[in-house]
Amino acid sequence: MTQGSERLTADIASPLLPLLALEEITVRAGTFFLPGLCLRVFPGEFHVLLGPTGAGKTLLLETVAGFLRPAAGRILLGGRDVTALPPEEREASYVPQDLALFPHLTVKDNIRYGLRWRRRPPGEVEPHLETLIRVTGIGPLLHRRPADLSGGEKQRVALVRALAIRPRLLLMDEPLSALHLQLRAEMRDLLRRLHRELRFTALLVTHDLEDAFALGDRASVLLGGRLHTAPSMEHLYRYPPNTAVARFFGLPNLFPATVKEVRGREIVLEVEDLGALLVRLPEGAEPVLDSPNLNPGRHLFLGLHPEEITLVKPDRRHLPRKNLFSGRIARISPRGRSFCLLFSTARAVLEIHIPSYAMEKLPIHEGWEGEVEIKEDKAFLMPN
Amino acid sequence: MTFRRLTVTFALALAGFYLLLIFSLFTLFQPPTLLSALLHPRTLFSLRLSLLAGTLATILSLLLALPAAYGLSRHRFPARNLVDTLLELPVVVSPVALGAMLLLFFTSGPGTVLQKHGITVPLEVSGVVVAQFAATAGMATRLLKAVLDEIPTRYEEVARSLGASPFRAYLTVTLPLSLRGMTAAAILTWAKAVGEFGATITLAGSMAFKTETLPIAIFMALSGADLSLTVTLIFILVGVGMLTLYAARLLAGRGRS
Repeated sequence: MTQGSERLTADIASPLLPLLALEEITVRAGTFFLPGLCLRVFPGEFHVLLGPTGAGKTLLLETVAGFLRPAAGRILLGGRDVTALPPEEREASYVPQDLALFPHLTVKDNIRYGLRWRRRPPGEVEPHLETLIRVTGIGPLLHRRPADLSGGEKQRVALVRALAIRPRLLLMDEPLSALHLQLRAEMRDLLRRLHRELRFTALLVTHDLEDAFALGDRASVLLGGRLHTAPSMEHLYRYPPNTAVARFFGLPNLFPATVKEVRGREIVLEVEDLGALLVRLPEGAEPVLDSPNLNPGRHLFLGLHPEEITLVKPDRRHLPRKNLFSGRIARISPRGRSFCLLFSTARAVLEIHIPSYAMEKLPIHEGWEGEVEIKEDKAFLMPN
Repeated sequence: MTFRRLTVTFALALAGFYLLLIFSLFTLFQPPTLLSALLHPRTLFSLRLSLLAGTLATILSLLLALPAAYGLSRHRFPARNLVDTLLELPVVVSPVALGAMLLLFFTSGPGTVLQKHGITVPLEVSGVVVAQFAATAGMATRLLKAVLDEIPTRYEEVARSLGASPFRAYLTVTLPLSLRGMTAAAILTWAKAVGEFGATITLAGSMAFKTETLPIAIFMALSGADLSLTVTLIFILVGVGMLTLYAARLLAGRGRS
């Protein structure tokens, strides 16, 4: 009774109150150590937790689920401190990487498993289950056993089982990693549709950028024992918080640089191997950079997205430009939807990506000599 | 000879060795004696005592071994390795030594408390059950632990995230998933209890129509130089043992498919 009313107030109190809050969570498991992590997930949000293999994402998820007790810190779920609560009292459904459908139960009994322990009026349960079965299309599978299901079908059943109890929070650990490309795209789509229809709150762990872009309302990245949260996946990708994250995203073109001059949002940098560069900070980049310390002499890192370096066509050279660098194209290699160009300047090599359709119109070839332009608002800066 | 052939030959040779042992029983086998010995009240008593005491000891062993095995399989705790090692005691120590330890426990050790309350174990039927229990409990725990180790903890974790208490998760997920393996473990425990000799005779003695189990009856028949009775009793024991083992193998095999 008290639990129910508590939940109600927590849910409607304010959309600004996080549904899940990790406060300085420290996790120790064997030799693994995650120190003092903070994370907020808001009601109705689909939060993606990104990170390379071995970063401790699963460990963090298991801590939220309650299988691991953190060595320090607090976990708040719906405003309630659940740090000491066992998993069954957290109402956070868990979908592990291998799904762990109960092999001895039919699909129907699998998806109703959690309802055995959560007595709710049938008038509330049945329509919800029907919606889940309709959206996921698992109706024809109800009397089968998990062993007789395909990978995608298992995936759907595991999702329905987890959502059937109307959990406060849905926890998913790399749920799509076992699927091939086509099915993966379908499942992403299904997850998005389910989320739009039911507005549950989800925390999904993945190392896959495409999953993160497709699903995440907001995204965090866990790397080297540190957790960074960004307002969106695009933002995280556009402005990686540090070089480690940028490298995890596979971003080339990272250079050490020194601040020469600061004029409001405009910064003149001396970039190692490249020379002077003018950068204009976009809105939202400050938290990443802790700009109060952005004084001349400060050492930091410059990153250039390979899609945003432009080749200057010879006939346009007369136009006034800043941030021009001359050199030659050392190599052109196709990458499917785009081409990858290695552009050698005097001392640096820049990686440039050009979409295939644009490539056709460009009179360039290996050995082409000319200039590239770096737009001042397209570079990103990282403190380390 | 390929390595594969060599290894298979060794397996066949060992099986052949045991088969020869069984065949050598036939040199002294006389069908008329079999029937009369089989229907002899003393034989029937031994068989019944063996089956009853063995079943009782198995139930006791499993009742204690199941939760113990679960604890050992699922949880890390201090002295876990020590516990694991102590459970091997009946395997490492000769059964006679185990029986002697039991005898000392009940006659001059902490077990004398029971004696004062009128519960006598040495030289009693209860001694048979206690000896068989002592000889099998450790093994049963280890067998059941191996079965539980095979069931991924993921299932229980998911069950608990869906609201099941640890006990409910165990009852509704782990237990049904391990049922075949557990049945096989129970049968093996039972076979071991029924065949137990050393600890039983040391603690409970060898009184005809009281504590004489089938293995003890074999020993007594052999001591009395009654070879045809010995052979008959062995046949019964081999029959019971092989049948149960075969049943266990079938169950375990089906569980794997």
